[in-house]
Amino acid sequence: MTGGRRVLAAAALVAAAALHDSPRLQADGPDAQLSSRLQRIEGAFRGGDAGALRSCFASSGKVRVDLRDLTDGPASYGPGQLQVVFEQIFDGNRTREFAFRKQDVTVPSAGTAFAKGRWVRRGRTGGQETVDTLTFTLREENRDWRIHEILTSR
Amino acid sequence: MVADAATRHRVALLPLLAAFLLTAAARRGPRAFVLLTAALVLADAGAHVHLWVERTQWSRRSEARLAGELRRLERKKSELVGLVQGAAKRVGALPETHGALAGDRGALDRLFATLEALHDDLPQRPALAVQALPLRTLAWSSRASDPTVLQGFVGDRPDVFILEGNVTTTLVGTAPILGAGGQVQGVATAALPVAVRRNIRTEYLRDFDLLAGGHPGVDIEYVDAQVGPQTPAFPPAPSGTVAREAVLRDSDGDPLAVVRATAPTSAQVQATLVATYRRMLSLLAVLAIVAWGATAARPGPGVRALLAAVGARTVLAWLGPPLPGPDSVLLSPDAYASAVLGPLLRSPMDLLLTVATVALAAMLLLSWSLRRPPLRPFPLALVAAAIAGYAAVAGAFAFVADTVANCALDAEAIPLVPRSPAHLLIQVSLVLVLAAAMMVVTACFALVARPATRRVARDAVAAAAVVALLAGWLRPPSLGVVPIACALALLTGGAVVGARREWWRRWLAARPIEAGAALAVLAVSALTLDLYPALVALEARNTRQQVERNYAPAVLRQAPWRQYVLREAERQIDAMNVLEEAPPGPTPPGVEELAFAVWSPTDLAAFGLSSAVEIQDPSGAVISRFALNLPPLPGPPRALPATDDWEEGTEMMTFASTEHMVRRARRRLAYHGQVHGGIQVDVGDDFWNLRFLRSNDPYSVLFRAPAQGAIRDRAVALIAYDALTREVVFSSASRPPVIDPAAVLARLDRGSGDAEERTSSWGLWTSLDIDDVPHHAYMFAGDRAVYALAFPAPTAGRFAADLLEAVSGLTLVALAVLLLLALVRTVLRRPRLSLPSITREVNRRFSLRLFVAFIAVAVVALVVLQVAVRNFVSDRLRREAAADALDRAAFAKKIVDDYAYYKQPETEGQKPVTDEALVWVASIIRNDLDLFERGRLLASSKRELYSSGLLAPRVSGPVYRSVVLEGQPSVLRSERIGDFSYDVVSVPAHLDTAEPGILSIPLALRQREVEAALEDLDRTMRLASVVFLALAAVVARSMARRISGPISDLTAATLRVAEGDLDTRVETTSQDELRRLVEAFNKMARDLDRQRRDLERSNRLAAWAEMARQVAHEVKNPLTPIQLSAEHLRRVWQDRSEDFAATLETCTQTILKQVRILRGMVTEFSAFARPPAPELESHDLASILAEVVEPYQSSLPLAVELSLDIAPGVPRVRADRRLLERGVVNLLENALQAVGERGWIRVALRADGGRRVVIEVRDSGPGVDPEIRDRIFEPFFSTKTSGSGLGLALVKKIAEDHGGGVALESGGREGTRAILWLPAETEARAAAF
Repeated sequence: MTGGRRVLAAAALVAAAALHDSPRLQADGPDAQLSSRLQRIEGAFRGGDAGALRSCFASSGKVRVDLRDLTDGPASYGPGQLQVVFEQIFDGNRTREFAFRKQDVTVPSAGTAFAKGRWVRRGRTGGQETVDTLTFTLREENRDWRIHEILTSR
Repeated sequence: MVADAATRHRVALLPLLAAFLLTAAARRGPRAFVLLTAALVLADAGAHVHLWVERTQWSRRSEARLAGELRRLERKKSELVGLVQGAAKRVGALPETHGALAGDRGALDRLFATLEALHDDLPQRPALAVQALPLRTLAWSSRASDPTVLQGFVGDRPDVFILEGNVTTTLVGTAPILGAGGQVQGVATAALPVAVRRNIRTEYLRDFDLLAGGHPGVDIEYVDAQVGPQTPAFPPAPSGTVAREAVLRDSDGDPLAVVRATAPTSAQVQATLVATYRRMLSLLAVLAIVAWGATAARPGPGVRALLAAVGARTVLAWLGPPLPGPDSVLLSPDAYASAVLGPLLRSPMDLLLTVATVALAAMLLLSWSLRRPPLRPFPLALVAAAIAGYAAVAGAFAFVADTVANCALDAEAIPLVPRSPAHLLIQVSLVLVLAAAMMVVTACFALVARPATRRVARDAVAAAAVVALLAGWLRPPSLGVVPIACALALLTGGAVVGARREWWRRWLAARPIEAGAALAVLAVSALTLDLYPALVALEARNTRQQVERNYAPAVLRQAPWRQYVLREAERQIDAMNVLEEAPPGPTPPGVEELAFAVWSPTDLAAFGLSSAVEIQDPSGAVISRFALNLPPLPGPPRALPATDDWEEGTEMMTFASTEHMVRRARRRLAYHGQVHGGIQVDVGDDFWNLRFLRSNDPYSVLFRAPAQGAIRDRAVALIAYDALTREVVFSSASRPPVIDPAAVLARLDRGSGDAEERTSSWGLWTSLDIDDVPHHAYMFAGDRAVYALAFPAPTAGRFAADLLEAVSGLTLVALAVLLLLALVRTVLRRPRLSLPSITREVNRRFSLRLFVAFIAVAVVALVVLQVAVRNFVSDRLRREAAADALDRAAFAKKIVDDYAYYKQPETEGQKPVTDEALVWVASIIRNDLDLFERGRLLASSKRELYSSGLLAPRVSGPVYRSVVLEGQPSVLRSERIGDFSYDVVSVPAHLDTAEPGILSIPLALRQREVEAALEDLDRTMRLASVVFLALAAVVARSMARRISGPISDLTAATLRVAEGDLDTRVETTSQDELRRLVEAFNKMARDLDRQRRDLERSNRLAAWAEMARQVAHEVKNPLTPIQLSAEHLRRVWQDRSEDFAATLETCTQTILKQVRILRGMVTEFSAFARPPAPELESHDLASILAEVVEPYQSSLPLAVELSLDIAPGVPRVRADRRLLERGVVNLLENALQAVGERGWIRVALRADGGRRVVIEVRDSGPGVDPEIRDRIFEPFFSTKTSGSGLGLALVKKIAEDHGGGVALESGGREGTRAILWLPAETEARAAAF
């Protein structure tokens, strides 16, 4: 089998282009409160606002996070700790684009939602853009949706 | 951070501030501070210049950087090419090669050994092989790859080329092996993986590219020899970047790779420089501040220290610490960070620096409070201190709770050997927090005055009641009962210490500073004792919260999660266009890796699901399969999927007696109307992808473990029970307990009648014994199952052992800090708290020296014992593991042999043993195994290790040699996968082939068990050592005191004897040499006492004899004239020769005169022997002297001058007037006698410093010889022919009775000066008081 790597790389680029043209999440999406929460997450990433992002985390317990190349492996973080982590990430990276697509949001059971967001970022000192796909797991707590997990696809 | 720092750096505040400080301090500031500030200004100016140069010259420098990078790549290529080509040539030139090719078995055996030795010697350790023609691997080193890849590349001359796989890129060097006639008989190969792309970054494995070498901005496209010499093209470089490309070629000019080097952007270069300069400036700024704090004259030392600490902390928060490096975990928020104090708690290092500053401030507050007078009134001050103290300790423990909540590490684990630097920093910081709180509490209570009356109990109860109310009412919500109890214990300790401030001050003042340092180390132990229970309670609470809020929901959403990930994987695979290009020729290299190459970029791999990818060719044959933790399905090959769309479903996989549910998705792979094959994705229904579970599979760490140094979650066990059948459907524990799921469900229903409560807490906590260890278990129900999430519950014994280890660990850290401080002070030549001063202090005290010697011997013995025991146990465990592996291998061999025999008729033309069979055998012997036929992998229970390219599908060369060529019954060798090393036992297996097969059993699981056992042993021995050392310390102290006690007593007794106390005796209960020493001393003291008494008696007798002699001599003198006068009277009366009347008058006068002399002598004797008690009254000496001197002045001879000089302001004295007059008269009489008929006498009265009054009597007489001057005040000693010799002795006695003294100065013929001094009246009163 030859050129498998090139095939995979080209496929990834095609997929990225395909995703870029997809419609974004609307406020009247699958669940209004869920959509509202997702929009706030989008706003926090776009604005590089770690404090705003903290308000989206689980109200108690820890949040499981694995951000490839940005954190040192998967781990569970306290909310204050995670806020500092994101402050440092946003210090070093400028968000060009962050968006959830409607078809990437799944509510498989009551109170649980999976949402995949596409994050295009570039280092503050320049260089190539990096595209990460972040999978968020949200749970409903007192009629509010909170982030319990953020994992990066490879 | 980098960009932000660059922004900050552009602001010229720092250099301006530094310049200002420099100017202000240039004249009066400490020299070190001025120099460092000047260096800071220069460094910052230099940084700005450097950055400007880089900005303006970026383009030109980029070209130079790129040229340098390309040269480096060319050199690296040449090095690697030279390596493989040279290795191939060396292999081809080996003398054993031709013999092996000719069929010489002995030569073949030697060839294997030589290849292995050569493989170990070569850098990068390429795989070496000798291929016979037609291509057949004859001999190889380590695990060489399949020779069929070389088909078409073997020629009659050496060559080097690249082979691209789906995962691995290999650089191959070949060298033909020519026969005697010049024909090619074989080929020698050297193969080196130069690039790996598994998308795995774990503790043991990571992708790499040897050419790029981790340099950023380097892209490489390898030229696959199977494709042809066309060089691939890179996509255009992003605008604004500078990039250069080059083609790397072999010596024949054939391309090997195309490289593109992209220069870092100007901003990236600037950021790198700024980061470097920032650290340098941070270091200089901190050193300057420290220099100012240590050497400035103003303000005072306390304020200076505080300002310096705050200033340094501010600089470090602004610029970042100079050490460690920016990639250190100590500076990363991944281990710990909190948003509570803004930029002050962004990492473990920040935590330590901030807490250390606070602790220093608390220490200064304590020092200040100890110097202040106490506050009054007492009750109010005590209550205020209690409130302030409670606020301090509650705040400290709330901070501890926040730290634990925002720390990804196991903060409660405080082993003797720190787990990591981040662990150590966080735990030391927590102790410092408590130390700061303790000092604040002590300062508060030190300011409280002692009560004037004995009402301490009442006021203490009032203060305690206030604190109890505060604790119950204002308890921080993050603190439970145990942390509050620890806080109150700290408060009580600080209150006790603060209330006894005077006692502590006297204790410390009476001891050297080294004792204070030792006390600080013990204080750390006490603080750890208080901290640890709180840490355990907080961690347990956090773990329970995490289990309830995070882990349990993650378990319950596994089913939808697997479905979601499967759907995402389908989309990702769709984008890959798998098999779009039909594979050319015979099976191309790396096809086995294709399934892994499809699996690894998907979410299946990213999220660690037990899953499999299977790829079929158009005929339906499986050409590539990769599975993580999913055994292969038994049964006949499946037909291709019918459609190009994904078909999803679930299937129950039955493997022997076990069943597994898998979620499956399949689709056909068709492109442009042509079917190229099919693909199938399976997702297992287990829970091993949950990161908080510890897998039993030792190889899971290769695919699922986080990167090295990454934070790990606290491990919990998960057990799932089928609610209907009670069976355990999943367990991460080896021996799950038996429970009744129905009973649990009933309890869950009963426990939550309210729906709201159910959603917030829909489980219940209970206790379970899992693997014979008590656990706290959270039970909850899901889809037809009951789950238990459990973590070990601390037992009393375990808690005590952990507590002991924590206290010992942090005490050792404190001791190490103390020794480091002493070392620094030794270098700085400080006289105290340095290594020499500590040594002196130890040497000064015999008991301490003994104690240290005992402990040192104990430590050495313990270390030797531990090393010996560990080595012994380790060897034994490893031998047992190897023996156990041999037993399993023998057992497995029997099963495999029998299986192959019985399966032979069914599998005619097929593999006799399949992966499924080995998976079954592995489940029986509880160990993985591999089977090799003619050196190639035939079957494996862990196929994923091969299909992911982690292992080549060929047995290790030395193993083949030992088992097949040399016929050894077993071989034990070490192998590696990345950084994961493990032992392998190999035995021959009976297959229907000419040569035996090889059955290999890797011992990874057993090794983990051995390592875990050794870790337990190490920990147990360390704890036992601590206990032993503590006992040894107690015994050592007792022994040292028993030995040194009598010696100290003897020393003290000797001093008393030297001072004259000969009644001193020493007692001892010892029965050994010490007793004999004590007895000898007592005997000596008794002898000295007896001798002194004898001497005193002799002296008294001598004194009596002398006195009697003097009395006889003095009395005899007047008696002679009395006798002569009486005889003369009688003679005249008898002879009537003279005028009797006149004679009677003369003789009577003589007799009366001598009688008066005798009477005066008796009076003097009587006055000396029994002087009257002085009647002290206040007198003005001037008037007394005037009265005494005046009569003498009128009766002196004309040539004798007597003067009286009285100085003004002479204080009064308390004296007996009569005695004082007599004393002065005696001095005058002596002076008159010395002067004779001509000379002068001067009497002076003066004050001596307001405390004494001095009377001087000087004369111009001949003086006193120095030889007799010392005896002049002895009784009965006289230089005159007349007199009692008691005059000056009487003066001395009178002076001493008044608290004064007398002295005589005489310079030979220069006259004599008699000095009589008395204490002034005020001094006399004070002395009497």
